[in-house]
Amino acid sequence: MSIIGYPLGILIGIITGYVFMLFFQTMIANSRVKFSTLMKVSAQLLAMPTFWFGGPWVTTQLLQSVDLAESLPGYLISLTLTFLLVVSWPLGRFVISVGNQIGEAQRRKK
Amino acid sequence: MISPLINTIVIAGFGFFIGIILQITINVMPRKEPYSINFDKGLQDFIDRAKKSAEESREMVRTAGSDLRIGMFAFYGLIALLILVLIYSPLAMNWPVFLLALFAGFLLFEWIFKRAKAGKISSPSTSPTSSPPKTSDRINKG
Repeated sequence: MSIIGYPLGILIGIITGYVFMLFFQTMIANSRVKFSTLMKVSAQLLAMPTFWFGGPWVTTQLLQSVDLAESLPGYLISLTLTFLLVVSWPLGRFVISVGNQIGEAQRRKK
Repeated sequence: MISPLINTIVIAGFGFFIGIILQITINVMPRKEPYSINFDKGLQDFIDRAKKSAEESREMVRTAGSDLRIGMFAFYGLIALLILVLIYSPLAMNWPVFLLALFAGFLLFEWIFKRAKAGKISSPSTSPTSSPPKTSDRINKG
């Protein structure tokens, strides 16, 4: 098994994780999101698998000597774990923030 | 060819992530006032209340804030993302693992949300998403 898959997966996982959080933050920051913006963000979200499994980086000069089929298992596993790590922490903080707001408002009502 | 273990881990990761987004979507949904159905009043009362509830739900979705729409788009977008991943990659769907991971992600974030609501966890001030939309309008009046 080729070990190039692991760093590659981590790198692509970090990039796409931050891109996903950027989409999410953009949506959260805008109190009134237009339908066209939603469609644009959805389209960008749906473009992520093509980047994961066949983005322009696959055909670069650097990777021509690498057996991609051999490095695929390492790539997949490190991509999944890195993406989850990058995305879970900000999403968790968002959920805590929303929970705090609802809890405070409910306590104020009582 | 992908080994079954790697396939399981990737599918579980996807399920976990979709579970998280599902929990967020449910939390940004506006809540209806709870009501009880009195079966002693007969079938007509049951039908009337069911109709009223359906109308309320339709109205709620129609007038819902942008956060509900964002949540729903994110959820459906991720389902589509999963389908695309299954098409593009050599992964095979493993439904039991996917559903288990989805529940695990959902329950973990539900637990975090409940603790935050009770004031047992507070959000760090440096949160990148520290200014979520106002939530006072979706609080259950009951």
